[in-house]
Amino acid sequence: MSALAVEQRPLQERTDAALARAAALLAEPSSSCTDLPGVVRLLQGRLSELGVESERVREQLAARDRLHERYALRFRALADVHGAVDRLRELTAPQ
Amino acid sequence: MSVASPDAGSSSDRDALERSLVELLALERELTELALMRRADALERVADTVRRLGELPGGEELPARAAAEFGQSSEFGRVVISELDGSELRAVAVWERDGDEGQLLERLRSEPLLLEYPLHEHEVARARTPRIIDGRTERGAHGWARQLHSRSYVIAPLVADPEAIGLVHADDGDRELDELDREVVDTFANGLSGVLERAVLRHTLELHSAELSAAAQWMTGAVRRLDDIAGESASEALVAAEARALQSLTPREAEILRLLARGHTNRQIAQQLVVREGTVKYHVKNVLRKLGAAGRADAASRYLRATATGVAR
Repeated sequence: MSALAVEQRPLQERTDAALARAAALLAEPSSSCTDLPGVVRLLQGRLSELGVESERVREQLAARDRLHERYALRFRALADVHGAVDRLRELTAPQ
Repeated sequence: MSVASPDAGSSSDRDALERSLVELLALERELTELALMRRADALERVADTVRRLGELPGGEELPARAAAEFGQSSEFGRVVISELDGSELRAVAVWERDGDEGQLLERLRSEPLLLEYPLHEHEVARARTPRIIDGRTERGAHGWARQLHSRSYVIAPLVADPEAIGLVHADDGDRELDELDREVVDTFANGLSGVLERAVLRHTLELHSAELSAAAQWMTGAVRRLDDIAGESASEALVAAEARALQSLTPREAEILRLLARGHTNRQIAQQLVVREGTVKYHVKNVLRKLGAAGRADAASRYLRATATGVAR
């Protein structure tokens, strides 16, 4: 198992604990609050109902979008390289 | 503080909800970043593995090295590389993190798989696309999974111009494999396909080169023997006839014959001379006709013989 896989365990435990706290705040059973994006949407909806506009939440969302964009670019470049290699293989394959 | 009824909308309730959301968004970002880093890291390690395999000279030990290198650089506990032989699938290399690889390979070799429905191996080879398979389902428990007791596994095809020539099977004990695992095995299989294709091509070129060299030597010897037996006249007549034929070639045809004698394909000649492959084919046809050669090998041996006797350069 790689170092990154090992690193994921405590992070997942922290996430589970945070989800349990969010479930209590939302007065929902813990068992129905295990899906992180789903709970995020629930909290966003509840804050919206209360008319709360949070700068900190906006910052977090912007940071998440930047992260996705950064890696999307990287993986797109990687996919392009794979595509180019495949075409090269076709061109140079023995007839 | 009770925040179980945030509809009440007190300031502390709103703060608690906001804090919770910020915390979860931060955790979501960390998890996403870690997952993306894992993907990048896994693909980078596969690329390194394929690069190392590409530097090997090829040969029969290549599949075993490939299985071991991939297993050691990935998160899989077991890797099986097999080759397609008609409608049979035969294991050629096994790597296991814990276990007796030799014994397992013997066991798999003794029972080649007949590729037919419902085997997933059959579908992967036919469609040439990788799959994650749940080994606990009735269909998923067939094939190598039956002998390996794989709970969850990935199969990816080894493809060469453009047929499937083998498969890579990877699993990791009780771990449920995911999309990243599928992508990693597929990337490895794709890279290994290229390495195998190059190794086969290199071997074929070496064989052709050796055959041409042997033919040229034999022909040179034959000419010398003709000289001995029939005196100068027979040899001179043969050499003179071939010299005339060679001299009748245009400079372009002579250039193409020289490259052809070095074992180049039409495509390689076209690339080197920066012309279309069809143009090379046209010239090759003319060369064969002018030399009265039966084929490319015959034309090449005539050229090499002429080179050896100083008629051609």
